[in-house]
Parts: sequence; structure tokens; C-alpha cells
Amino acid sequence: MPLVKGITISKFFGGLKALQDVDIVINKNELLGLIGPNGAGKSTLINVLSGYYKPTKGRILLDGVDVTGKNMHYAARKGLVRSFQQAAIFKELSVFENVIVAQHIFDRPGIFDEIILSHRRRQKKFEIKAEEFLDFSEMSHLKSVKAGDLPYGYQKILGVTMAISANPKVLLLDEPVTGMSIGEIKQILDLVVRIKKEKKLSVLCIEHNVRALLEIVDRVMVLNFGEKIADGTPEEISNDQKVIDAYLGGGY
Amino acid sequence: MALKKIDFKLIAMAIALIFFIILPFINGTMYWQRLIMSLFLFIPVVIGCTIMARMGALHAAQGAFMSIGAYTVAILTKNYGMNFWLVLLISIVVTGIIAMCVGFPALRVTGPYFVFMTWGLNQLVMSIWIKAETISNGVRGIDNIPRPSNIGGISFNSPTAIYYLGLVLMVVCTIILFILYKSHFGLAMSSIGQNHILSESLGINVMAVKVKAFVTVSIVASVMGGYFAIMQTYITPSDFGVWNSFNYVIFSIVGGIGSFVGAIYSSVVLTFFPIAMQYIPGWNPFYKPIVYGIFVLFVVMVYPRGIVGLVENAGKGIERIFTRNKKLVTDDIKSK
Repeated sequence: MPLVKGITISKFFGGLKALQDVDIVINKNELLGLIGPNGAGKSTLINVLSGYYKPTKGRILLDGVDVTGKNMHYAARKGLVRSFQQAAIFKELSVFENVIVAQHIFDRPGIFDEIILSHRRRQKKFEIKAEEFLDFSEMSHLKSVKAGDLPYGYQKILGVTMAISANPKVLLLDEPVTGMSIGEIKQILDLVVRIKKEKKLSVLCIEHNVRALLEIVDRVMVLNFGEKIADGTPEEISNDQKVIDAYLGGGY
Repeated sequence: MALKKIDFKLIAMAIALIFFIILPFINGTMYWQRLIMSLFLFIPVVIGCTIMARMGALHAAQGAFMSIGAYTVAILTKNYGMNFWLVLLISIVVTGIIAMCVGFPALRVTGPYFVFMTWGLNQLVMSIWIKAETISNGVRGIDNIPRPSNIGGISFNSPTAIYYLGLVLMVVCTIILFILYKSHFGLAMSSIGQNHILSESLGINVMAVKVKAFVTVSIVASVMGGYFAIMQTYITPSDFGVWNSFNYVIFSIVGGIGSFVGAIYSSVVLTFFPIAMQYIPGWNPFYKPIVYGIFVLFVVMVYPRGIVGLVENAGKGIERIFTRNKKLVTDDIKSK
């Protein structure tokens, strides 16, 4: 059974067609690339899958569970977490605190719990885990820095780190390397591959840097004008005429 | 350097606490005690406003929740002779239920819309107290509210006992709110205030956190309202009107937006402010709202750190005076 299954997802904003009858499947332990021209509906698809938008039509199944139209936090708790295109972090908190907030899923202390301090012991566990995640992303040396003071590249890495520390089964990354320098691109894409391998997650990755993306993904899906026009291995996609005409141009 | 700052705040609060405890012994008249009792009242309520403000919700209905506590205590202890302590528990439960019912619709909106909803709620509750004459005695209010009955052998018949009750209530409520603020729940609240979509996407149930905080803060206000009833022994609907609610919000903003300690500082400063102003010639108490308005504008437009910012800058300035000599030496070494 696939981990994520989106069935004939359509999203209309009034008369504007953002997505139409898009089927998407993400399998376990798979790195799926999502490419297409700007305005093709890639971010919209992530927004619908994660619950930020309710689809106009269609259903989303997460590990067999129907999460269509539920709030984002519901999907997140079922294991579907997304990152944001603009580095979304908590600017006023330190890097360490950012990762702690992201783990809130694990333990939702009620107010009474907090007041009687009953879960203080468990808090220590989160702090240890937060250290581990920061180690994984090689950001431990920055842990006390206020997140808003970080350079943009590190903010994006922090955003991805926070998404991972929310313990997802599947991670939806929205353009994780846009705006990065070549060295940073390599750093983030290496991180994404390591995430998939070591944490055994599935990852959906939207990217415009197709050359870099095709090297790391298992499968690629292509959107154009809100519709799926191709779905296959990197080789198949590079040679698909429809895709070349719509987006890639020659030379892939 | 950070350690020095924390010490300073703790020392200041310890001194203040000691002062509050010994006040009745150094000054037998009730003048200062009454003033400080109203300070006890303000602090937890203003902290409540600050906590909600941290999540982007300006809570303009603290007066309404105080009135729920106050009228529950007044009516049940005076007209039905019930035990004050039992009534306090009842009012906590009642307020909790009301806050939950109001919170769910109100917290679905943010910014100015939330202010309107809470403002409207405040007006609604006031109207109820004014119209429901058979229960609340309308605009005439309820007088001769009885003192709390003895508990644990302590009698509350003297004004000084009421003063110490206020001190205890203030400390307990403040500690509860502080624990909330510093905990992971508080971190979640802060994160919601900074980026609620990100919080939601990480699995935080934003609505649940907001409602929980709203209910807690409203219950604290209600308890302080109950205290107000036995402290003044006379309550009227106008004691809990919109201007009072806005007052608490103003205190909370001027202290420093979202700052816990700021709420305490500003409660102290703004409680004594009208007293101090009396000594300035030409001062008319009528000017108070105008001056408060100017403070708020100043903080919001120019200096969001508020009173806390002023205090911390002063602290840094003092530190620099003491370390100035050291700095010159290290500068010399660097430039060589």
C-alpha cells in the first residue's frame, strides 16, 4: 500500500484552475521529485496534501487513513509534514528552541500537567532529541543563535530540520534549495538524501533545479497548468517529449 | 552578563515581596494597603492580557471575566450565605465553562476582529448585570458583601487579613501563569504568535492551545474578580466596563509587548502613576486617559520593548559604567 495516495485532486480558486484531476502516489522509502513550470500547481498540490487547502474535489489517503479536508495539524500528527518555500522558522526563538517546538507533536502537555510539573522529566528527552536533530543537520554550533539572525541558507536548513524533527513518515519539501549558492544546494540535497536513507522516510521534493534533482530522486512527477503530464523514472522523464516541450527544453 | 540580569530581577522581586509582607506592620493606616491591594488585583489580570497578546490576541474582556467571579461571589455569599471558598471553586468552574464556550468562536479570528469580539463580550456581560435586576441589583450594584468565612483557623474580618489574602492570591496566580509561560506550552504559544501556520504544520493544534490559554487566563481574572468583591465589599457593573478591560490591555502593552516581567513592571508603575501625578501642579485626573493613550502610541510606534526595554537599557548602561575601564584596555590591545 502506498504511503500517500492522492486521488483525482482538484483545486479551484473560484474560476481559477490550480489543479485538475491529479493522481499522486508516494511509496514507502521513496524520493519523489515534483517538477513543472511556475504556476503549474506544485505548491498548491503540497498545500492540499498537507491540509493547508481543502481540495475542491478528490481524496487524500495517508497510510490508508483519509485525511482529506482535515486541519494541517491532523495530517502532521498522522505523519505528513511539510516545509515552506520561504524559510519558515520562528524568528524570535533560538535555533534550539525552534527544534523543540517542532517536537511538540510527541507530547502535548495539558495546562494542568504543566502546572503540576509532571512532565518535566519527559522534557529532558525532547531536549536530547533536539540536540540529535541539530547534529544530523550539522547545525549544533548554532544552537543558541536567534533564528532570525541566521543567514538565509541556514534558515532553510533549519526549516527542513524542524520538519524532520516532527517525526514524519513522509516529508513534503517545497523548493528547498531555491535561492541557495552552489555549495548550499549540495549541502541541502545531501541532507535530503540522508534523511531518506537514515530516517527511512519518503520525501516529495519540489525543485526547479532539475539537473540536481534528477540525480537524487527515484521517481519524478511533472505538472503543467494544474494537470499531471508525466510520471516515471528520471530517464523516462528526461526523454519524454511532452515534458521537454512544456518545461525542460533540450539538453537534459 | 545574562546571569547578572536575572539576578537583578529576582532581587528586585524579592525586595518587593518582603516590602508587601511587612507593609501592614510599618504603616497602620489602610491608605497604602488599599493601593497595593489594587496592585495585587492588576498583576495577574495584566499578565493574562500579556499571555494572550503573545499569541496575537488582544484580550479586551478581562473585565467581563472579573465580573463573573465578582458577581458569583457577591450573590452566592450575600444572598445565599454560602461559604466564600466553596463559591470561589464554583466560580472557577463556571468561568471555565463560559470561557470555553466564548473562546472557540472568538479565537477563530485574530487581530482587530478578536478585539471586537472580546469588546462585544464585555458589553454583553455588562448589559446582563445591568438588566438582570433581580439577581444583580442592576446599576445599583451589590453592597455589604460579607467577608470570607474562617478557614484553617484564620479569620478574615480585619482589612489586613484581606490584604494578605490578596498577596497570597496574587503570588499563586502569578506563579501559575509564570510556569505556563516558561513551559513547553508557553513555547508553543510564543511560536503561534510568531507564525501560526508553521506551528500548525508541525502538528501543534493551534486552536486548542489558544483556547486552553484563554480559559486559564480568564479563570485567573475571575478569581481576582472574586477577590475584588470581598476587598471593596461593593460592586457595580461599571467596575468591570470596557474602559477597565482596556486599561488592563494598556498596562500589558506599555510593559513591553509579550513580556511577562513587563506586565508586572507596568502594573506597578501605572498603579502609582496617578498618585505621583497628583503632586504635579496643574494636573487634572481628567488627563489620565490622554496620557495613557500617549504611552500606548509611543510603545506601539516607537518602542515595542516598553518598560522592560527601558529597564534593561538602564541596566546595560549601569553595567557599562562599571566595565568602562576594562573595555578601554582591551580596545588598546586589539588596536595594536
